[in-house]
Amino acid sequence: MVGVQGARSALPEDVQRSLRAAFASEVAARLPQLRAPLEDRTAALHHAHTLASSAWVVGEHRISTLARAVEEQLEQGAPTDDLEELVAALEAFAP
Amino acid sequence: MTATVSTDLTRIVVVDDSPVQRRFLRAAVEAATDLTVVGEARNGKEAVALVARLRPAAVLMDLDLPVMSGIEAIERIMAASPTPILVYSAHVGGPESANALEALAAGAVDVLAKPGPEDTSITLDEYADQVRRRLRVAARVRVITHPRGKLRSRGLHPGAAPALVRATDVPAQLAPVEIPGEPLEAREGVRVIAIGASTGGPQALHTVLRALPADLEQAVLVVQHMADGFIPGLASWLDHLVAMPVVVAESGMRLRPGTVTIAPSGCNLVLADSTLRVRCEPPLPSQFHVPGIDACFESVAQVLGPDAVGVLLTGMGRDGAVGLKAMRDRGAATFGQDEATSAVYGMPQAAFALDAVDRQLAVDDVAGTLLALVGRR
Repeated sequence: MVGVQGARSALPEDVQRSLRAAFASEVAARLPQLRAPLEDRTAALHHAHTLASSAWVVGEHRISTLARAVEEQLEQGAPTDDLEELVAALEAFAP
Repeated sequence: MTATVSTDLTRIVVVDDSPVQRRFLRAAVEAATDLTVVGEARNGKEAVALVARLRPAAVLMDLDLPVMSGIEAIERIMAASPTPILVYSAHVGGPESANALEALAAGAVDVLAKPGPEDTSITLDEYADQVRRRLRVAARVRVITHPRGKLRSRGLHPGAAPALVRATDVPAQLAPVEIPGEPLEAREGVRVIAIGASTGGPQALHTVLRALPADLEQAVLVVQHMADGFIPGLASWLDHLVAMPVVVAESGMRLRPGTVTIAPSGCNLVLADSTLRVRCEPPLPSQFHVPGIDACFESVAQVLGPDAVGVLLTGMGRDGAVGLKAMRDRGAATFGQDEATSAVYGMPQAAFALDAVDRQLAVDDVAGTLLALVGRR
């Protein structure tokens, strides 16, 4: 299991659990387009952008940082150097 | 699209395509006993329909939405069912910063930065607290049907964001206008027009500044309460809309005639000396709003006395009232935005109660009054 390592929260346990469940669903929904970002760069950028914030909310700081880096790379039309690592990290949630 | 019914609490609609964000924001809002989420929308189109149906007290909306963008949704909501909208937007300082300002131009009342990996100094709970506080303020803002959405709904809006039209291409509105109240006597020697604003401020600033000419002989100094990171976006947005150049202040620079200088985030901008040099000073630990309007106005009073004009525009709280009083006591002309045109009649009311204003003005009359005062009319 990927550990909580970003924003700490005093939210109730049940809310934190439901947030992580929602994050897993979100990853499952967005991962396919992140695996093939060149097919639809705009969609991939949107997914990376959204995941950067969502990951922060559930305390996944590393994923949040990687998603932001990929977002910026897509935005600038630069090589997506961090994409492979981001996809691998996300697959821990939605194998 | 989901909706629940509640009557006694401040009713909020949350708009975000991320289920994580919607879940978190619902939990954050409902941790307060006075707020409740009555509906959730996943895109702009759902948001427009849900707001029309539920008539919430406020809307909390992301901008990066599928199906219909956040900007278009704001325009449509403000045209059909005007509701205070608090925008939260990630990536401040980046391209979305301009979008956030565009959202304010479309009728949103406030902008909150959505935290991300670059935010190491804020916890999730602190962010949740910010969301609740800003929603309470937003829910108290009076909103009216917004002209841009109206125009679009009638097919008259040109479509392109007006921010793309630089105002130097458009003559400043110098036609004579009726200034309410006793005739104003023009003053010689005014060097600085200092303006403070908070909630609803960007739109009010736009209204005032767009009617001032590029060759204004005074320097304009603006302090706008705004989330960290959005000030450069505000400056860039205004720079495209008004005739004068708009810049963000840096400590040590001098104010220039015919230039709008905006106080940066994170410090109090004060006028340091009569050469119009400005300086960033650390805020007081107890200070709620940074940059502070009081600190700026007090320094202007101290340095320029009667050779300045103070204007306090719409905003929650009382920042600026004491500073404006100091300016008036030192002989400066002072104005406050009136209740009828203030999104939040807090700061101007506090100033009025302190006897800090010479005259209260509708926002549309501020620029004309300033021009009359400096002898341009």
